[in-house]
Amino acid sequence: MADLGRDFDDILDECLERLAAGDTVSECCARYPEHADELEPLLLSASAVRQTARATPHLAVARARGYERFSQALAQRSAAPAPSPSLWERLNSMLRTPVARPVMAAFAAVLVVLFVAGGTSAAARSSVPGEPLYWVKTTQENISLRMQRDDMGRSEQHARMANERSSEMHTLIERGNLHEAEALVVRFRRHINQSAQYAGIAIVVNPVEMPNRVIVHLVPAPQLTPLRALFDSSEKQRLYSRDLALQSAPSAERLRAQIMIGQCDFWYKVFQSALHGQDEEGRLIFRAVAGSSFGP
Amino acid sequence: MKAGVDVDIDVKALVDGAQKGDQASFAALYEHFFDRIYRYVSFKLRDPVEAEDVTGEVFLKMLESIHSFKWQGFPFSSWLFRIAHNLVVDHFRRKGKRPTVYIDEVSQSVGAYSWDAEGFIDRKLTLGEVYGAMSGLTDLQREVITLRFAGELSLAETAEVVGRKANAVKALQHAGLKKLRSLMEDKEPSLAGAIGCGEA
Repeated sequence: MADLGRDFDDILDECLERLAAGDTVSECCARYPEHADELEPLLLSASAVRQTARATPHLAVARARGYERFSQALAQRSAAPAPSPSLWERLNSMLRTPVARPVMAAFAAVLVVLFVAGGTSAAARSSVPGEPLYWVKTTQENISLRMQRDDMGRSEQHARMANERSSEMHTLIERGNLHEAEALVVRFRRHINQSAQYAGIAIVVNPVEMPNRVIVHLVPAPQLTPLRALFDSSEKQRLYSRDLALQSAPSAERLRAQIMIGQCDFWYKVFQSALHGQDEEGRLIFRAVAGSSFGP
Repeated sequence: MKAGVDVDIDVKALVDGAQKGDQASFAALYEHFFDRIYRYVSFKLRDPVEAEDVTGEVFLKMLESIHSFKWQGFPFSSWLFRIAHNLVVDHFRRKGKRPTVYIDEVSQSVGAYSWDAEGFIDRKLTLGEVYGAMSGLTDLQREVITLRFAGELSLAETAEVVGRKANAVKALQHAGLKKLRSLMEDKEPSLAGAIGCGEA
């Protein structure tokens, strides 16, 4: 019986491959009439799953929109000096080679001097994507992220990185480079999400289930104070920079700029509201509606 | 005869090109795999907006990590779908919920019983019924069925993604389809005798 079972598995698989290649259920059944009764319902079930997956809406739109993001990331990657593997991985693997050690040590010393000297570092701090020193800035950020010992530290570092991406986005909008600015919105959102996750916050946006509705659940976290302070202290500067960017955006691209800025504002608003409220037990639970008031 | 794959595309050449930083190879890989990855993710998440985000992450991850991919006897598609699988798992973990059935799914037909246009139509299944039946499978059966028919992976590719031997995947596929069929029949008893391709 075991052999018979295995044979049928093979026949079924062959028929499934034939279906995928364009044969009909009847054609498959006709090849194995002795198994037709057993094959048919299984093949129809498989086709039901395939049809369900193929009924996925918005495929073409999703592909086009995704490709835009992907090509931005690709362009950014190719503009970086160390394409692949990453700089960290390269240093790591080179340091493992005995011959390269003295060279790498000297190189590391030079890097340290450069970083400590601060000149490069200071210049890099105000750089934006596409500029030669931008990689210094992002490398410093990534090193700083790796040096964090706990989740709250990582959450704060991601929040700083989100603030940086937002500020870079404003600068790029001011300069009329909206293409690069859009890529930053994606990165901004990723940092906000990661900051939230490390702080124990889940931000749920489900436009299908509840259009324009956002639910934010928070866990008890008295240690959120530094994170709140981080956002609060930069808020005034952020709003100023945002308004300036909107005023300076090329008139033909103003709507596009407004959409980008609006997306960032939305996520700031959700996250900041979540950080500032809590119920009587110290648990923070928020239900917020986009574009209207926020509250528990 | 690999399911849903354009055999004219030389994926190995594209991967090699991408590993050398060739942008056209990256773009071709995106074009080649996007639809299947999106369908797979969308089938699991059942939310087009979230599926779009997660699918985007899959390709960004591919961009970041492609240099670490080595040809060690398993296909590139398995590596990519494993990334997709992990990101879907992370997504559910972050959200802390399983997918729910949306109102549209209850009424939207998938045309599952008219697809071969041979007149064997009794009634069409709805998305909700298919998803509902899928939830009755074991995790591994569901993963195999989803990879095979939503992701349109071959048996060998599926085996690599789930880390099982091809024969084990064949058995899982058989058991999964059998259970799926019985769960769908439970929803609509008249389906059982509606179609008979084995009949003279």
